[in-house]
Amino acid sequence: MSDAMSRPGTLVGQRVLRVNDGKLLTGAGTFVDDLHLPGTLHAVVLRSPIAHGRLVAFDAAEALTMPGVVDVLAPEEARDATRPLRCVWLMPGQGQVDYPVVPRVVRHVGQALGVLLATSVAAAEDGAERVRMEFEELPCVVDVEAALGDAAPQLDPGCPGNVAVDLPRGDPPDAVEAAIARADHVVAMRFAIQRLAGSPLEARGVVASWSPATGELTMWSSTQVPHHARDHLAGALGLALDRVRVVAPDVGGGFGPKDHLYADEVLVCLAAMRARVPVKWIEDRREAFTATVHGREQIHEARLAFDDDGRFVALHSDVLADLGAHPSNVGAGPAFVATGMLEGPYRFDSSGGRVRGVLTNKTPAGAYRGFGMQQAAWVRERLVDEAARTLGADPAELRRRNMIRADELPYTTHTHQNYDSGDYAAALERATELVGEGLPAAPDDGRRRGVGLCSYVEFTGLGPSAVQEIVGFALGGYETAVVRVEPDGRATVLTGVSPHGQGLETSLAQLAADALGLPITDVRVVHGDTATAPYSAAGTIASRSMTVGGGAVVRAAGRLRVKILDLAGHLLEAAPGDLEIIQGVVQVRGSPTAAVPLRTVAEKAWLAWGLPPGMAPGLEEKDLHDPQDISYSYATHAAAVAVDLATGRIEIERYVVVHDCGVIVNPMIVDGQTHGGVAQGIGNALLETLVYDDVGQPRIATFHDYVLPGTGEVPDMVVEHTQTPSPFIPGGMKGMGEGGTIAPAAAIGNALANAVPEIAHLVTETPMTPARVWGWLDAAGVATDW
Amino acid sequence: MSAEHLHDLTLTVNGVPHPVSVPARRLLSDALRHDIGLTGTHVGCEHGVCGCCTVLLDGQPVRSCLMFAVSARGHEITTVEGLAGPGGELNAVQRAFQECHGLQCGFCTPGFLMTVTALLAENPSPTEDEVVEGISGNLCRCTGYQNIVASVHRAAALMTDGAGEPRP
Amino acid sequence: MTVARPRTLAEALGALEATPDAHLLAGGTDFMVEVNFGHRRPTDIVALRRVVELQGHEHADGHVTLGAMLTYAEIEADLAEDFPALAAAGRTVGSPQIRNAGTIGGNVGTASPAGDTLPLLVALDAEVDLAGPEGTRTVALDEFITGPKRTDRRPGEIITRVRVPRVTGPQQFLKIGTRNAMVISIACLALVLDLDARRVRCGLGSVGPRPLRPRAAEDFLSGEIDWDGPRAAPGAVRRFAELVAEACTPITDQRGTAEYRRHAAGVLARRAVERSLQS
Repeated sequence: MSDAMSRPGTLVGQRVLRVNDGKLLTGAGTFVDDLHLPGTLHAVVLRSPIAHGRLVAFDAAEALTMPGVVDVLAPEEARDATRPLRCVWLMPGQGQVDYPVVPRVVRHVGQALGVLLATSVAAAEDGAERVRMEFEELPCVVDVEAALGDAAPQLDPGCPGNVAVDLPRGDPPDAVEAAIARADHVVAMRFAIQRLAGSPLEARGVVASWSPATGELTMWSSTQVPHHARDHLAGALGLALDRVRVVAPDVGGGFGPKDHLYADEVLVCLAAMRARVPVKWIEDRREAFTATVHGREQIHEARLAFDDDGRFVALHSDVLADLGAHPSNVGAGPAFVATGMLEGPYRFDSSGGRVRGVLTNKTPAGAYRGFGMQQAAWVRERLVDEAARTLGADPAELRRRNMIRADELPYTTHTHQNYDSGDYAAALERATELVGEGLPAAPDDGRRRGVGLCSYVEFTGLGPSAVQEIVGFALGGYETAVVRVEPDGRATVLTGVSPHGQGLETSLAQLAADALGLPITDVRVVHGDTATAPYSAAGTIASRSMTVGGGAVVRAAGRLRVKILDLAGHLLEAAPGDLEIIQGVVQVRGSPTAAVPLRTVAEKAWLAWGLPPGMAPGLEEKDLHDPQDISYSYATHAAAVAVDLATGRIEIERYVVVHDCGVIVNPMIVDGQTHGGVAQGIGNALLETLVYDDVGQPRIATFHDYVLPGTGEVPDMVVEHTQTPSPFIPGGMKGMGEGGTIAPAAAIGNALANAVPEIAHLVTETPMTPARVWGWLDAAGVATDW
Repeated sequence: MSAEHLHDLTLTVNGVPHPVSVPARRLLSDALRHDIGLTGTHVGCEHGVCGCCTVLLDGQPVRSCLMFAVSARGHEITTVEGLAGPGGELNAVQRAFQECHGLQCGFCTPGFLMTVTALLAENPSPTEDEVVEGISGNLCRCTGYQNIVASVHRAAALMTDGAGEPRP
Repeated sequence: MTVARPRTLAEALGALEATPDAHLLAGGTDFMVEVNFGHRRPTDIVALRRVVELQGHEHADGHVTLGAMLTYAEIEADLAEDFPALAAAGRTVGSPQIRNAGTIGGNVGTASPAGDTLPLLVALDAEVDLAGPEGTRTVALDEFITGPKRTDRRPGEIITRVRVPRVTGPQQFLKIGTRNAMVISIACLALVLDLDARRVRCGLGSVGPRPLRPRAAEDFLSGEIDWDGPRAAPGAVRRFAELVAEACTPITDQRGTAEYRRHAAGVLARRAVERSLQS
């Protein structure tokens, strides 16, 4: 046990070991596939094998004769029994605002059409092979630019030209163009960011149980958002909200894609209601590659205008976001955020962009860690380095010259971001310093070496609700916490956020323990069940759990502390203001003999004996936190790479993160989140991509070809923090779950361009695989034969 | 089509014999999880890349998703449930993962624990490269591996100090 | 589905005779993936891992015979001195878990164009021993593998051993993939400088429908090397690399373009020669 565990009141900022590791280390965690309800049937979701076409025949007769096959929910039946799923983030003028649980015309390979139930997974898989589906195939389009062409097949009547969303961002286009026109220089580049799969190692899964007696549906789901899922499940099935319960048990990673209810999950629940026995569906890995939303894919035509003296004048990006088959729950949200955060930590006279969300016959694109901010950082930071190259300036110096200074904060950007607090240049300075330290002397191995930087500002802590209303994101942006001291003196924290690896069971407990004067071992965080958790519209997404959810815990625990001190003061005949709580004992400050155990206070409170006049029984407080404004974390990452001119392979030799996410509750967890984010960013930068062929068939559906970073690809990284408290969050935290993922591609791309300036103008696409980089080297005539 | 023929066999898991009756095509991972009820062994890809399903077969790490249950007959199988002591106390590898924050969501963790247990049994004080190579067959999407590598070194140190032998 | 688990070769051949369409299961690292994906629905399987005649290895006159069930881990542990490039290839197959399961016989029988052990085996003129209803026969590996995942294995036959000639001289195995470990190669190459025969031997993987032998390149460099060094002029090494690249017949797929594969093979060829001459 670390020191911190025995010293109450000082837990925030301590490296407290995680309280929930024990079960995960002993195989006692309970993930969805670990649940086994008696009589469970196993589901296979029947899916479209083609990218675009009308289902004209469906025949399950033969499948129903197979051993173990119990039922088949046909597309027509499913359609009749469900209502469309609403898109949650609606952009102004969005041409498609919802999507059917089962479509008449399929728009991507893997789209759900029905469900087959059997007594075992194997029997269900065998049965599914005998279900006959016939399609009248339609021409498909898989390329986002082709989708805009006159000849492209039209996917949705509400989206002429396949454009679902077309929005200006930031300053009026005329103003941005005028600013660009008067600048001395313009760097214009076209950037393409690939399609990615979030790939939590636990894929999605559902156990659904319907009680005909009570009319109650329970769905255990590997989800980041139990309440959100419940709301949409009830809506899709036409059930009352009080009859639907969603439980997120242990969840094996989320990273964005588990941020909403999926059509296939509705179908599994519907099948369970019909079968009247529990039904389990566990997504397999190949299925996940087409059935679970993708992320990232955008094309940016971007320009950075600047003067001879290196002053940034204007920034603009025209974004094509490949939304896939239909707008997902978040639709063009990532492109909206990409343009919203494009300016980063710099000043511009003018800035703006255009967002077009375009439909194609691919799996819908949704949330993935970084949510547009990765793309913004890649585009902006590559442009900044090319501006430096144009001017012959030092990239760090050019950044410094244009960075918003600490004394300029708060600062409002051209896209109305109200940057709150921090010192962006300090992070840049320190990262630049650190990346050079300890860098081994370059061996003469024929490789080129270079260093690259990426500075960014990160939008965290979604809400406020009022902001979400303005941008049309139909999720309340607040969080609620209930903090209770039980009659035995231990505390329970109920939270609406739903951790799945982030360690909130520990960090939220640290906040409550500090407020209540309890050791961490006496605080339990309960979450993940809509039957017990406070309502959380948004759940654990968008780096908001510690800020919004943690803020709520600080508030509720603070209120409870006041009541404890009031009651203890009454019992001790002391002024509440003179009391403190140490290790579960309330005592008069400086006079430890005048003391009462918190347990005694709790007993009195729950018995309601001897309470002061007017005090309500019990020791439980609930509070809600809807932040006044967004909190902005920031960082500079620096990468040092070696580039093999013969093979195109990039090796990361050093990686540095200097980060500020406000008050750090648990540095061990914050570092862990950063490491993991950077690793995903490295996958984004060097390895991962999803590819489709011309007829919309995925070329990549396994981990053999979807190459996740392994131990060999992620270098040891140096992570340092500064702490500038958020002015808007009780406790001063800022969000940080996504931060690590945002910067690696840009830092590594800039390092590559620095190492091989001959190809700098070509470094516009990710992933920078050996084959792609070799193509650039070859095109520039710098590739070697060994 | 008739129902599948079932094979009656005994799988020895963590020293305990478990009689099971399974079709020939039942994967070892599924037999452990569903027939025997030891759900600590996880299935992340079913194509032998992610390593979540790693168990020890006679002390050697194998992918239980790439093996039929019937093929495990006559072998000693060790799963994550077999690592802690009889009173539930964490062994050196498990403790090291907790101390070094070598896990986040915990889904890949059992596979790592089994791989590391075998690695350290064979090589009690691995170098950095040996650790990186030794766990190269396990994917983690949460931690970025840095703390997992640290956990392996920490486990090696705990074991050298006699603070706890990894079982088996 | 049935699974036979014979202990002897005779039992295995008997099982195969009883279920002629049975799939032979070695380490399962390829086959089980196909089963799990539903690409294969075998009704009968003959699992060979326990067959005693297929275990271990023996040193014989001028060659080593490898039991078909010899695992990559065993090769690494026991044969690294005889065949360092084979041990290196086994290492790049990936994880400890796969190395404990994957076998030499499985790699040969699966005949994947990306099979990591195959380039060295073809470079060394390895031969495959098969046992079947008609008795035993021996086939040159280069002839045994007829195409992508296609072999000359006849119905009822089982690969029993792989005979690999021992040669004196440096060996290299080099591989390019997107990731360092656990990755299917974009291109791989094995190179042997056969000092006694004064011959360069080379095998290529992932750059053609089956493992390739760039014979023109071998012939050229064999004649250019000063075998008493051994040394070679830089121009000769460059030309060798060009000839290796010319020998490739790669495809473009999601892992790499044909152009990159051909180039990469040349790079690996030059590097392998360089390292061999240094070593």
